[in-house]
Amino acid sequence: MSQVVTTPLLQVSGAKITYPSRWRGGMPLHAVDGVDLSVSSGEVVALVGESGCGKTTLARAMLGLQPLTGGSIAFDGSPLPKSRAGLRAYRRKAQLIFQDPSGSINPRQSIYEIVAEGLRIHHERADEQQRVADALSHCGLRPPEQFFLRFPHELSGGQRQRVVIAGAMVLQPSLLVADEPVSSLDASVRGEILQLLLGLSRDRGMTILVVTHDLGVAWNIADRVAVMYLGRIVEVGTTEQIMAAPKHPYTKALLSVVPEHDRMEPQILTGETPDPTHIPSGCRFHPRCPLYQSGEAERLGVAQACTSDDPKLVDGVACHAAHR
Amino acid sequence: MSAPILDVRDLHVTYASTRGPVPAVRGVSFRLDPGETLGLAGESGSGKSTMTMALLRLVPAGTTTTGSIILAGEDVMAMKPGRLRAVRWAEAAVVFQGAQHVLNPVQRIRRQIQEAIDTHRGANRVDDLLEQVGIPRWRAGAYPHELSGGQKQRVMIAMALACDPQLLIADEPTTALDVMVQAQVLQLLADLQRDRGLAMIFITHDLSVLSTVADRLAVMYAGRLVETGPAKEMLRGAKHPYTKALAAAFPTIGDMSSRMAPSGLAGDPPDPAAVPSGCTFHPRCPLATQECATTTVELHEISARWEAACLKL
Repeated sequence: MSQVVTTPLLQVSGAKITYPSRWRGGMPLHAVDGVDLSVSSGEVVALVGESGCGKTTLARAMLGLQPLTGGSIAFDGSPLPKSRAGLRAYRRKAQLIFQDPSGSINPRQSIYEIVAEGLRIHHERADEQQRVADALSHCGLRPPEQFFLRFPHELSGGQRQRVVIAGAMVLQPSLLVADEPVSSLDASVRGEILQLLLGLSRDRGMTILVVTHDLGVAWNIADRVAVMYLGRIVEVGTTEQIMAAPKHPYTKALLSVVPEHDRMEPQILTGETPDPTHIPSGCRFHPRCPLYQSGEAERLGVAQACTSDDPKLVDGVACHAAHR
Repeated sequence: MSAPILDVRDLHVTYASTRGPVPAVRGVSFRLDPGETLGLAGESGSGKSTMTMALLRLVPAGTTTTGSIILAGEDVMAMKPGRLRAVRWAEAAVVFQGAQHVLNPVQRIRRQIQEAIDTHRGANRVDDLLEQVGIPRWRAGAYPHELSGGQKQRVMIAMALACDPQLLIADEPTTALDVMVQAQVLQLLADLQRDRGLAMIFITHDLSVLSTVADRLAVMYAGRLVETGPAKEMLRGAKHPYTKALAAAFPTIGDMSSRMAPSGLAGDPPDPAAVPSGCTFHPRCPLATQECATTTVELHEISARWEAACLKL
């Protein structure tokens, strides 16, 4: 829940990540195009958006896995280290969980070796066995000793994801970045894993950034939601605010197509996320924006601005119509 | 009542494995009327894909299938291979999940759709099919990699429609897609179904998706149906504890009871080679009592066109 904010644990300011074109004369790809986001200690923040919006690239940058081409990211008040040794020390404090548990663990390692790997990398040999056991049992794999010598293929998908989370938790990091932690899991297992993440935040004060395209995940576990579109955060606020009274037309559209969300008329946007090598002028959402398309923006007298001025994120929303 | 397009009675599918026979589907019966959409839900390993593949006898060699399958008045189990090949695609077509892995990456989509038409002697034209699924004609010359995920799934749907089938089986058609694209594909399927009077079996593990497309729901667990009934009512008020758990797994946004309270179901689905005794769901069921472990339970009517297999109902 929202606390008195001192220094945020993670502060992203004007972050940009641009990939050069693979061929000469091609347009550069703006994966992340000026993102400001702060995550306080103990908070669960959901970063939501369609594929290709840059959410995973941004998450990787937060872990120092992806250098920025502009802006900065600070952790606990100081900028992310650039040196190898500095990054290694940083990753002790910030851990990443990937989407597909079968792809992110070595099938030929035992569960014990998988979980202990982090400790070995960071040369923390003391009480290795005890710490592995603790991590496993915190993640619901009990009794932990029974899992030590087993291999990933002997476990179910949900248990494998628990092993991945245990591997991240064993170093007792202060930040956990979970990239689509449940999207490859079955319906019944999904809730179990979300409960585990929520428990880590509640019981151990873990700060969690969860990257997802699924607004239900945000509703289930997040304190705040940041909605990303084409490399930019277009709306940010508490989960209740965003879900009950979204201000940005993109957020509204996203919410309206969630199945079973019957309070809203579905607003199916045509087309897919546009190409990040050709970001539209003005507001980057205007070519797909229902407000602009329907002439509502014209009536509000902002249509001119929609096509010419890039809206700033003010009061948690980047939309000319909402700012009026 | 008109003749059903599909009538399945006591279907059993048993895979052969080195560990012995594995019963994946253990006695499933249902019927599907023309123009109706059945949403089939269940976890991986529940037998839902096996069951639907068995409807067209698309199961690996060595697999035993028993029971009766009547498709448009014809007994599928008695069909000769030639007839079966004609029926697949022409009467019942399948849209698989993960379109990117099904399309041939080195062939233009025009040729791939044309192949489906030619093989099954369909009368449609590629351009018309593409248009019906919302892809502009000029994209026919594209290779799969030039299309987005949603467009590839549309191409798969166009191929399935090549011979004007009466029944479309869609196996997790939107699972790998984004919310917005998923909404587009669901809308397309709903439109096609309405315009062509298609009967559809829509398979997914996400019950909430089914609320927009299905008329009726069937929930499968460990190779059997545990609940079947009208879709809207069942999503709002599921009776079987397993259906309840599945429905709760995808929260309704705005529903305060699920806010900061993700809901799951402890345990894992049973190994099909060793299903629990009695009600197969009893080891994971919050309501289970002693008798659930010993008494086998069949689907029984709990209200009009609504059946559930649970001793507690």
